[in-house]
This record gives sequence, structure tokens and C-alpha cells, in this order.
Amino acid sequence: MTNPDRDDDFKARLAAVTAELDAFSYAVAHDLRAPLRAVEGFSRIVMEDYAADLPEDARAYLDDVRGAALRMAKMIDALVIFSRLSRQPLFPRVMDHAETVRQCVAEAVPPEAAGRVEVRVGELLPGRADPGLIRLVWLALLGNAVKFTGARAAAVIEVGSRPGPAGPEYFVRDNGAGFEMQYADKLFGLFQRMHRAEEFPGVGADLAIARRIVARHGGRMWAEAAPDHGASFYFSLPPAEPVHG
Amino acid sequence: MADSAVEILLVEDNPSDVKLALHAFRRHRLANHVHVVRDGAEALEFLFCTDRYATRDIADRPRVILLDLKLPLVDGLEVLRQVKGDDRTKMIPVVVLTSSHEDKDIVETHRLGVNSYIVKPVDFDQFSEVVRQLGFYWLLLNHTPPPTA
Repeated sequence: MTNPDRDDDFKARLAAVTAELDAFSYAVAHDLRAPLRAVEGFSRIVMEDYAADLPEDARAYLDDVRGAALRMAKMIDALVIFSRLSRQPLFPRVMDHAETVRQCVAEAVPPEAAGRVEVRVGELLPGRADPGLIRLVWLALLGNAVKFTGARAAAVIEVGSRPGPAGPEYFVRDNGAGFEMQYADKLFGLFQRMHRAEEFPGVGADLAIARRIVARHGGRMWAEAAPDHGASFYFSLPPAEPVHG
Repeated sequence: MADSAVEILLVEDNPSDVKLALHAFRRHRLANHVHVVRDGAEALEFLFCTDRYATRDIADRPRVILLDLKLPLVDGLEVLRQVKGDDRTKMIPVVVLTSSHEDKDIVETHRLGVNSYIVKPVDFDQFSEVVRQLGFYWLLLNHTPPPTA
């Protein structure tokens, strides 16, 4: 049984909440950036125009001020992407992951790391997904693997897939720093970090964004690891062919 | 009068952003001919030579307008709409300089005929580079039709 009045009421409230969220995300994106530009810009100007008058430690503190402002700008960017992801429409189609992964490897492995990082790409099953968004997932997982194998003289990153109960499952495995499994759920929280900032840079948003993208597709993302023995990140997607029966 | 030499009209309400922009203009020796207006209403008075700018000559068009979108009184979209909707001002290139990469603003400003849309970077060095390129392109390379158009 449906009640048209209640349906209309629900739709009106939903529209109001969506409009409020849009306004909120606009305010975050627009209004929070302006004071940051001032913090970053004037620190920079003081450092450059008054460099001769500044003692060494004063310059170092100003560097910290700038670093914090730039970091907060990155966090705002991540927050905006994260909030848009829940409303953005998906355009899923059967996609070939091999080409996407090839491009993402080129982007995620910086030239100076190319000598110490070996990426082995295995078979990648087709799956139904929005290619633009899944690209961000691959980039996040590959970037993560490159970052956390930074201390390895010979880093090996394996990319592959396997059939799963609900659809294909993809993985990115590395021989890097790894982590304690008891913290595995924290990995995907926005701005959660598993390591100290000076060990591995970043604001801790890529994996949260990646998991949300996979969830929007109806898939799942999880990780397995051991400290100092590398990590494996998995995600599942709906099957390329609709399941019958 | 002094206004006749205006080459860049900067429409910006945030005092810090004005100072940063002027600093970047000075860095690239572009600061001599910048006129700053602090809200959309003053921008329209300047461009259409009314009220506070009644003695200005409308033929003395700035070479480029740098326009923030979020402004007190009259917002940037309305300023853009009026500038591009009037034969006397529609040839002036308008560069929107804004805080955020907001899809609906990008679509709307292009629909209204904006010439360029730039998100102000938080990193001042990047901002300074943007200003340098703006000055180079709009003041040195670009040729706008003569005022009789």
C-alpha cells in the first residue's frame, strides 16, 4: 500500500535535505579555502620578502604554518570529493580493467621509483563498473602500495583478480610495511592514518574514497596484512553478465 | 582622469585576497593599472559609469575583468550577465577567479559567455603563476576590438 500524500511529503523532505547538503558542501569548498589562502600566502610572502631578517628557526616555523595550510587544503578537497560521491550518478558498463590499470601504474609509480618497484599485472576479469570512478580506486590502491613499499629496495606489487561468490574480485598486493589486522577497519575511515605523518605522507583520504566508490557499485572492499609482511587490498564488483536463475 | 588608465578591474570583496592579488601583480609588474572594487554593485557602477563613477567615460574599457563569484550586494554571476548582455561592455574579457571547482558555476558562467574560469589555488606560488599568465595572455597577447565596436 502506498499513500501518495506521504510519498510527496517524503520527496519534499528528501529534496530539502539534499539542497541543504549541497549548500553545506559548497560552503566547505568555497568559504574554508579563503582563509587558508591568506595563511599560506602571507607566510610565503613573509618568508620571501623578509628572508634576510628572519632567523633560521623563524623560517622553519613559517614552513610549518604553510605545510599545515596546504595539508588542510588537501583535506578540504578530499572532503568535497567524498561528499559528492554519494550523490554523483553512476554510469556503469562492462569495462576492461587492463588498460585502466596500465595507465594507473604509469601514474602511480613516479619515475624515481621505477627502478625499485616491479608491478606484475595478472589476468583481470571484466566487471560492470563506472570506468572513471573505478580508475580512482585503482589509483588509490596502486598509490598506496607504492607508498608503503617505499622502504623496500625491491618492491613487488601484484595486481590480479579471481571469481568471487557475488562477482569478480580484484586485488593489489604488496611486500611493504603492512599493518596489524586489528586496525584493518580503521584503514578506510576518512583521515585515518596507520602510520605517523613523517613516515608516510598523505591526508588519509584515498582509501576512504576508494571504498565509497566500490560501495556505490554494490561491491565490497577489504584488506589483509601483517606488520612488515605487506598488505593485500581486495574489492569486488557486480558480474559483467547479469546472473540468471 | 586616472581611471582612464585602468587595464585590470579586480572585483573582489575579501581583503586578504585583494592584498595577495596585488602582491602577485606587483611581482610581475602588472600592478600599475589595477582598479579594485569591493562588491558587485560597485563593479557595475564602474563598468557602466553610474553613481560613484558617473564621471568616468564608458569608452575607457578595462582590458580584462577579474571577477570573484561570491560578492556582497550583487553577485558575480549577475555582474557577468550584465557585462555580457550590454553591447558597450560585452567585448571586455571576463576571467572568473573563484574559490571552488563547482560544476554548476562552471556551466552557468560559460553559458553567460565568460572568457576563462580559474580556481584560486591555496598555494601562493601557484596563484602568482596564474596571475603572471593572466597578465601575459590578456594584456599582451589578446587583442580586443576597438571601443567603437
